[in-house]
Amino acid sequence: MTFVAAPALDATLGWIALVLAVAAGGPCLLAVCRGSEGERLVAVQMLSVVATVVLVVLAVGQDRPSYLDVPLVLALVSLAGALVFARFFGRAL
Amino acid sequence: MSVQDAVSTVLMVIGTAVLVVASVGASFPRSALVRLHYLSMASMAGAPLVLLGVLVRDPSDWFKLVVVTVLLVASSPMASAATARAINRGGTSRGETVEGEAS
Repeated sequence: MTFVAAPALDATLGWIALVLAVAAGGPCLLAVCRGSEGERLVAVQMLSVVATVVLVVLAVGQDRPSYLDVPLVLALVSLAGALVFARFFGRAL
Repeated sequence: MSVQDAVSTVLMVIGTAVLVVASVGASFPRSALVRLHYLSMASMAGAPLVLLGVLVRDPSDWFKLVVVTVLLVASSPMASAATARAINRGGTSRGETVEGEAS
């Protein structure tokens, strides 16, 4: 079995991704865990935006262009998810 | 450090700051409708700035980066409008009221 070493992460992009994941993703995770349904839905949408940006930064920072498909799909799916959640919350609230 | 790297770093730092401020702002105000403003700020200003900085640094994959940016910017108003309508239609579970409307 051969192991392929992962390419080194660009320092600047690595720090940007770390700061985004901790300082922007952390409060969103806290907000998802508490509050009313509407507040949680807004926090989920904010978390999807932050996750998309973090994934883009990590993909470019590791010089893996094929990984850019992941945030691309996440951006698409998060829109559909937000619309579906909003529809069901509108009925349930 | 080249000019390209400097511009890229400045754009990404500004975008990261906007995203962090928007994220903190979207997590602590009382009303969900107030939080929606911070979500719009993140997806219309913060995320495009970071992605523009990434694009300046590595323009080889420009198409996917532009598509991701356009998706984030274009989907934000739709998602915000749907969420605001759901919140407004159903009221809230903790008795908050929409400003300007009779409760």
